[in-house]
This record gives sequence, structure tokens and C-alpha cells, in this order.
Amino acid sequence: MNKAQILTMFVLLHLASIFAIFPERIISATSKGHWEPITILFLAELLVLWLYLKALSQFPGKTVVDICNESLGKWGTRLIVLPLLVFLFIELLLLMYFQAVEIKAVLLQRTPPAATEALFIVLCFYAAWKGLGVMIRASIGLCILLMPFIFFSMMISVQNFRISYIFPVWTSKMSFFSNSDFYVCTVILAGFLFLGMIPSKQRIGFGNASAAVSIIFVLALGSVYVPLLVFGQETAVNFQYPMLMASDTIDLEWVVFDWLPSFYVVASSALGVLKVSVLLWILVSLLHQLFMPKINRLWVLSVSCLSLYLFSLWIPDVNALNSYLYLNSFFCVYSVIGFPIIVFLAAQWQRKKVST
Amino acid sequence: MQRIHEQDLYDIEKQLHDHFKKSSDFLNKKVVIADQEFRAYYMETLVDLPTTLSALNQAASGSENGSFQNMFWPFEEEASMSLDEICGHLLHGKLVLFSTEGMAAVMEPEHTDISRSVSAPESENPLQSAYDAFTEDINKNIGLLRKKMISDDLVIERRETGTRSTKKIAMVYLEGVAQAKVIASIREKLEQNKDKELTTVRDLMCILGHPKFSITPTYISSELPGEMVQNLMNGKVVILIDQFSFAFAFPAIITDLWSTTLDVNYPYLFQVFLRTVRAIGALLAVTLPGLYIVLNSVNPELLRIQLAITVAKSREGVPYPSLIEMLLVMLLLEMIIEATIRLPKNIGPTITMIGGILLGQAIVQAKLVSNLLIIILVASAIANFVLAGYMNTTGIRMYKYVVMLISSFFGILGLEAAMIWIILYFASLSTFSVPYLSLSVKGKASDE
Amino acid sequence: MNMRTVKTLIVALSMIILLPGCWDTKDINKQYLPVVMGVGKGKTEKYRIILQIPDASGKTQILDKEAKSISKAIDLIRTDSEKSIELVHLRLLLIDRQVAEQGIDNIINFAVRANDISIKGLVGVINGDFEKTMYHQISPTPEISSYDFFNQNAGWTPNQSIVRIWEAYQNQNSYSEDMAIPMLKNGIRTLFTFEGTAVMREDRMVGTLNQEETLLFNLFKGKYSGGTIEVAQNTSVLIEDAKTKHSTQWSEKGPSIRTDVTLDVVITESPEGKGNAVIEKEMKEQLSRQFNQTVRKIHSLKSDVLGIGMIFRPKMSEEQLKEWKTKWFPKLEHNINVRVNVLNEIYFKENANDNESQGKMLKK
Repeated sequence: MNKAQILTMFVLLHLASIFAIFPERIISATSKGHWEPITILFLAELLVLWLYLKALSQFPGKTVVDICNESLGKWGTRLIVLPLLVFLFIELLLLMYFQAVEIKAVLLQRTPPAATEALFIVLCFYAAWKGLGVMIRASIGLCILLMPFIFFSMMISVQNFRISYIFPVWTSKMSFFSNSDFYVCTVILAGFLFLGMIPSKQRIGFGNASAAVSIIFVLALGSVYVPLLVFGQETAVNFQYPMLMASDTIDLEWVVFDWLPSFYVVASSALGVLKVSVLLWILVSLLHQLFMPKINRLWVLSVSCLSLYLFSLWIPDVNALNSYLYLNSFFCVYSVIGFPIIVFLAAQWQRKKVST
Repeated sequence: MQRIHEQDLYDIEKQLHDHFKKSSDFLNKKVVIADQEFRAYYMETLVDLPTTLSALNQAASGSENGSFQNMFWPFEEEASMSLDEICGHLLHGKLVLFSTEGMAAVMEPEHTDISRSVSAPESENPLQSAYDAFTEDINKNIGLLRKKMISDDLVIERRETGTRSTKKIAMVYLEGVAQAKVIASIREKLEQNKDKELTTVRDLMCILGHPKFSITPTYISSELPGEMVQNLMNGKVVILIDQFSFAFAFPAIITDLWSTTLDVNYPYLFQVFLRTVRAIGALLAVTLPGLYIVLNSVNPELLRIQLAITVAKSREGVPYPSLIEMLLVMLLLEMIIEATIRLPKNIGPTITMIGGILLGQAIVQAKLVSNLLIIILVASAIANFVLAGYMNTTGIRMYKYVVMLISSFFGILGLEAAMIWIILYFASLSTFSVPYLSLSVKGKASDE
Repeated sequence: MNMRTVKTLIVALSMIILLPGCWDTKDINKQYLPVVMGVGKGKTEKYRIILQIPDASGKTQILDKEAKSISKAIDLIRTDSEKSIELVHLRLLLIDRQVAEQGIDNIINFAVRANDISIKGLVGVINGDFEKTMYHQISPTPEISSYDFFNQNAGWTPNQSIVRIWEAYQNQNSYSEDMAIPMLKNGIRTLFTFEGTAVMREDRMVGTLNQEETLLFNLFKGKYSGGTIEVAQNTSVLIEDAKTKHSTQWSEKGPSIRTDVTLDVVITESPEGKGNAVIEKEMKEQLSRQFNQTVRKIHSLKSDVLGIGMIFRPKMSEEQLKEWKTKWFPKLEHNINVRVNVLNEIYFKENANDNESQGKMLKK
């Protein structure tokens, strides 16, 4: 487990959300100047990442849970972590359902989503069972496998760009702050939470992490602007999967395969599996460490997987998905912004306590 | 030569007779060496008595005025005269002499010549490197290694394992290059399991604590000392077992699937090219059958329209769904591959020709399978054997079926899920704390 | 029971998962893969759908049904056919002129919404007899000749326009563009004849452009290569390169734009032997006249097929953009200047006959 692997995992986790709900939400959050909400999101992430990493670097070899335990005591930590757990659980449900719907629409039209979700959850169960170290080591292999698909599906529609669709470029009103879709997009920031739970002494410096964030920023910009440039704002607003449709607009003769959107879905579902596994592992390890240390970890994992599967079968339709996403955005903002700040403050407090 | 009390001597001899009375190659002869009478006990199949006697006579006459006790010192071995030890020595092929005056000695005699001499490898094809291969005798093997690597840092540790049948093992590594943790854990495991029997390779894996069910072997086995020397220099630990004409290198990492260490004998660009071809071959071997099923049944939209129509035409009239078709012909192919290993050299080519004609022509003309399937199958089989090492190819061959099964249920999603699964599986394998997915064994040990 | 029995039981029971079956597995030889779909006016119902299905032996199978909606018609076709119908390889959507004049937004929406129709398929309007065109079969490779007709690497020339389904959808919804769909009819010895371009406004067909006008339209949009133009008195030139430059202005009266089109041409036929300068001048006058005529015609149809809104888009604010088609486009003033540059006469030297000092034998 070296730095390159951890950074690759970092990038891939962010890409998972960028390839799922991000472009659709940003396009519906604002009608012009799309780079502004994206920039604001990433600046917020840099800030929060700095706080988080600083807190971790002051206590090498410990996870965030240990830091919180020491400074706030067991019950304090449990209180802080509870909204995080709720967020993780709902987020996992929604991600799984979203991916299942996307797969059903594009690839497997007649397979019931129950079967697709079963496959999904079995893979994630296996990955979470093996542990975070295994997933981090596997991330380079997955990166090699998936990067061609990702770049391919993003770049092939370059021929169809109409540059004038970027305009109007500038928006001064920042109307997107009042749009709840913008807050749903903060879920892409959840990718950095795992940095605090790695059980090893390797620490990512802020410089490396911000380089990774800039790569993700470029990719996020790409994922919003590619459908915009191909279709224009008026049209792209109607699409449920804008990037998917954008990759279907070109007829490439030299590719062996024909139905190009399937590349997009393959990449997006693989990234979805990765993110769900990591989040599931975080959920299970938090539960195990703080709430039920006596029960075997495997049982906690199995029960969580089973409950996730059953709940995801109960989501009736897209409207329910939407309303849960809006609901989850509150927890999301807390977990992504509030939690690292609290961790940072806890770390500072602990240092003061230890040094006095 | 040791002096033993006469009564003990008599007891020992009697016990020896009783112990070995059922083996008819246990002989007891009266010999005369340097005008002294001795009773010699030995295994006839392991000891060449006339040559030994002449050597002993020569040694005895050569020593002038030596005392009786030191007469045989060039050949003698230290041994306490307990029954178990004497039996052990006899089984290892030593000669035990009892004199009439109560002296006893254990000798290292001339052995019968039953080991193979060093020859070319039977199952590997080295191009542009040394052609000598390991033989069954462990000392010869160690000697070959020593000849190929003349270095102070080459450490050879020998031990014996097993109680019912003892087996000699040697552990070889390069000090300073192999990771200390790996060496320590191998040594500890060997020590812990000293009593386990070691007759097959799987016993060795059991002793070393490797997982019982694993898709890829966690070791590299090879007949070529040249390859083993390269492995040593790459930081691996080599284990030699007596009476096995190949050596094992631990721990195996993923790059061993597609790189043989003999690649370094070629210029660098050739090496890169060959390794890329092998890696692509591995990928194709796993995915091609699954891809056929996906393109044919579950996701035919992935094919271009011209190809889709020709494929549909070639499948016209075939009664089975693609999965069954594929399984049928793959099974036939596996049987042919297995059979060709066991065929004697004179019938071999005939059977392979028949198999080719059977699979290729007749089965397509009988409309049992489509002809595109045969192409895919043969391509996959060829891609399979591109991998380095016979053991590795078998693992991939087995995984092909899993991929096929999952992709027939879930289409291209299943294919991708199978790929993810195997990457996760490789990531979770780690032998002696060296993870399978590392790129080299030499580096710093991880701190997990 | 000990652990071993439990494990074996779990493994054995999990095999039950295999029982429900493969839902999506349908062998490729049990499917019909239509390539062309025709949407026409039904005799008794609203839509009449005709599907053309190619066959490896070179024949095309044609299936035909009528219903109130397109999906229902396809369903009825499925009911009666021996194999299942998969629309995933549909590459050409042909719409009857009568249907196009009543509005195609339902059809385009259906095509984009459906997850089994690829939006890179092509759209065309049939100008002649709908049934005759759809039932017309001619070529040995039916699966590709329909859309090879439009393929830029195969049968396309700048005399034709191309529109893909996603472009049609985009233009339908866009505030600054309209669509121009090619019109076809069944050919006599080839599969199709190209009849011109249908100009759409909103989603209805409001007018047509003929072949020459389509060539100018393509030139304006930048899709050229290999188109020929006839100048007065039979001189023919081949256009090698066309550059367009727009200068825009926005005043209180409304937007105005001046386009400079520069054409690099080579002479292919010149029976009168005119000099290059003369040819350039003649071409310039003729083309400017034709361009301005075409632009006025399009303008009178109140449809922005030339994409002028896209050129003005960087300058407009959002409110102006929403009103482009209704308020500002009718006030547009558009001037086109053409400049022609004759590069060479391919293998001939220029005017070698008239130049006395060029190594010629004495003239009679």
C-alpha cells in the first residue's frame, strides 16, 4: 500500500460520483456559467481536505475514530459519527439503486433489477470483507482496466462539439446556491473520507492530494461540459444521463464494437462498485468499532449487506430516488464539511490536552 | 570406529536383523578389509559393495601405522550407536561395519549409480540460455546453483522433514536481496511443521501454509537453474526438494504470470514486446469465450450490423443456446489438451490431427456449433498457452468457465464483474506478507 | 452439524440462484435486426410503420403495420413475426412528407427516449410515394446501403444534407437553431434519389431547398469537399476549400451579419477557354446572387436553418436568447460576399494557348 495506490483510489472514488449523478444535477442547477458551481465545490473540498489531513498528520498511525475517541470520549464520538452513518447508509442505497436503473436502461433491458443488484451487492460484500487494504491495492489494477473506457466515452464526441454552446459563460447571480440540486452534488466529495481510516503509517501529504484534486477537477469540468457542448443547455436539461447520450452521438467506424454507450455504463458501474465497497467498509468498521465491538465483523457486514439489498428493492420509482437524494444532501453536507472540521478541532484540542 | 560393549553389539545386531527381516535387499555380509574381518550391514540397492571395499582397502593400506581405530577415518561418519540412528543411516544408504572385537563404524560408501545425469529440460524450452536442467539428486541441484551463482551471499540451509519418511529440503536465498521477513517466515514455517510428511508438492504448500483453494499458484516452479538464479537475484527464496527435478521459488507475484526470467537474455525492447504479448494473451484467453456469449446472446447490439448478420447466419440451425454450445466444445478441447500430455510420442500427432479435424470440420458441418465459435475457441486456447509456466495457464483455464457463466447471465456487466472479481482476488492474495499484486519482491516490506 | 456440512449446504443451496434463468439471453439468430424504419401516415390509424430487415443472403424483408402510436405499431409487428424484433441496429429513420408537415416532435422524442434506438441514426423525409420508397430493394448489401448513402466515407456528397436523430432533437429544443432534413425518393437504379432539403420550423416542415441550394447551405455550414458548381456557359469548377468569416453587429434595429465566403477552386471543364480572372468574376457574381437568394428564401420561411443564432450566441444574454427565433431573427439583415480564387487547372497550364512566349509552335 503505497502513496500511488492511495491516490489512485482517491481519484477513482471521486470519478464514481462524477460518472453517476454529477453532470445531470449541475446542468439542472444552473443554466449558465457551469464552471462556477464546480469550482466552488472543489475549493470547498480543498479546504476541508487540508483540515482533515492536518488533523491526521498530527497523530500518525491513528485513524480519525481513534483521534475522536481520545479527545471526545466514546459517547461524544458516537454522537458525531451517527449522522455520518445515516449518510453512508442512505448514500449506499441510492447509489445502488441508481446504478441498477442505469444498467437496466442501457445494458440489460429484461433482467429484473433485483438480479443486477444481487450481483452488485455480492461483489461489494466480497470486497468489503477482504478489507480496505485489499481494495486500495486493487485500485491500480482497476484503474488500468477502466481508464481506457472512461477516456474513450468522454472524448469520442469531441468531433461534435459546437463551441458556441458554452455561452453564456458568466453568471453573476450565483443562483445555484438556492437550488437543492447543487447540494446533492456535494456527494462527490465523500470520496476523501476513507483517507482517515487507512490502518497504516503512510500519510498523504497535502501537495499530493491537491494534485489529485486538480485532476478530478479537470475531469469534472469535462463531464459537465462535454454534454453541454454537444447538445446545448436547452437540450441537455432533458436528459437523465447526459454524458451517456453524448457518447452515443458519434459513429466510429474503426471501433470493433457498435453500441458505444455500453462503455460508459461499464465504466460507471465498475466505479460504482468500488465506491459502494469502500463506503460499506467504512460503515461496517465504524459500526463495529463504536457500537458493537463484541459481534464478529463478518456478521455486521452480512447484516448490512442484506438490509441494503432489501431496502433498495423497496424504492418504488425515480421520484422517490429524487426525494431521498434531497433528504440525503443535508447529511451529506454535514459529513463532508462538518465532520472533518469537527475532527480537526478535536485533534487540536487533544494536542493541547497532551502538551499541557 | 567406536568401541562398543560386546553385549550391546550383540543386541544391536539382533535388533537390526529383526527390524529389517522383511526387506530382502537388506544384506549382511562378512567382508575382509585390511586383513580384518568385519560384518557389513547395508542395503544392496543403495550401496555398491565391491567398489566400496576396494576403496576401503586402499585407504587402509595407505595409512601407515595408524591405530586400528583410525583406520577408516576418511570414510567414517560420526554416529552414536543407537538402533534408531543406525536404521536411519542404513536407509540413507550408509554402510555399517561391526568388527569381531566389538568395534563399529558407519561408513559413507560408494553409491549405486541410480541418479539421472544432468540433461536438457523435458518440459521447458529455453531459447538462448543454458540448457542444463535440475535432476532428482538434491546435491547435484545445489551444485548446479552454486556453479551458476558464485557469491558469498548465497545461503543454503538444509534440513530434513517428515517422520515416516524423511525428505531432504534445501532453502536457498541471497542474503541482503531477499526480504528478511520472508526468509524468517519460511524458516519458521518449516521448523513448525517438521513432522509433516513431504512427498508431494501439495504437502510442501501445506507445510508452508499456503491457501488450499487458489486460482493461481503462489509459487513458481521451474526445471532450469538459470531461471532459479534469476529468481534469487530478484529477491525470491528457492526451495529444493530431494527427488524432485524442479525447484520452487517463493513468493510468486503477478508479473510472474507473463514474464519469465529468461526474458532478460534478450534485448530490452524484445523483452517488453514479448511481455506485452503475453499479458494481452492472458486477457484475451479469459475474456474471449465470455465475449462470444455476450455478443451472441445477451448484448448483440455491441456488434456491427454487418457482423451481426453474418453471425446470425452462421448460427442458423444450431439447436443449442450459446452457453451450451460453448461448454460442449470447450470440454472437448480440454480433453484433447489433457490427452496430448499423456500420449506416447508415436501416437501423439495422429490423435491431434483427428482432434483437429473432428473439432474443426465435422462438428461445424453437422450444425452442432457455429463456425465463429471454433475460431474464438482456438484463439482463446492459443492465447492461454502464451503465459509463462504451465501452472499459471491452468488457473486461467479454470477461470474462463466462471467468466463464461457469469456473462451468460448478465452480459457485458457480468464480464466486467468477473474481471473486477479477479482483480480483487489477486489483491487479496499475499504470500509471506508479500502481496500478490506487487511489481517486485525486492522492495521495502510494507508496514501492515 | 459441523462447519463442513454447513458450508457444503450453503454452496449447494446457492446453486438455486441459477434456476430463475437468463432473462436477457436471446440468441442472435432468433432476432430480426431492422435497419430502416419508415414512419408514414396510416390509412386507418395515425401512423404506419414499415421496417426493413436485411438478410445475409442479400434479400430484405419488409414488415408493415398501422397503429395510433409508433410503439404500438412496432408491438403489432412483433406479434406477427417469427423472430423477435430488436431495434438496436436501426440506423435510418424515414418520415413521410405528410407526417413531417404535421410535426415530427413526437417521433423524434420517441427515438431519443427509447433506450434501444441509437441516437446516431439518420433522419430523412420521403418526398415521393412512401410505400414505394420503403418497398424498393435494389442492392446486394441491404444492411448497409441505406446508411452508406449518407456515410461521409461512402456515398455522401455535398449536394446532400445529413441530419442525425440527436441533431434533430437538439435543433428542436434549441433556442438558436432549426433543422434541415434531407428529402429522398426511391431511385430508379439506385436505392434513393436525393430530392433536396426540407426546412423545418419548430417541428413542422415549412419549405424545401433544391439541390443547388443545399450545396450552398452545406458550404455555408462548412461541410464541403468535392462539390461541383456550374458557372454560366458551362465552365465547371471543383471546390477545394471554402472558408467563411462572419462579422456581426447588433444595433437597436436588430442584428445584422455580413458573411465573407472564400472559395478555392480548380477548373475542371472550360470549353470556352476563358481566362481565370474572367471565370473568377463570373463565379463571384453568380454565387453572390444565388447565396443571397437562398438566404432570403430561408428567411422568408422564418426558420433559422443556417444556424445564425449560433453565431450570435456569444453576444446574447439569456433573455435575448429565448426570444431569438420569435423576435430577433425576423429582424436579421444578412449579406453574403463571395470571393473566388482559382488555384489551377489541375493538369493544364493556365492559358498556354494564348501566351506567345511559351514554347509554342507557330499558330496557323
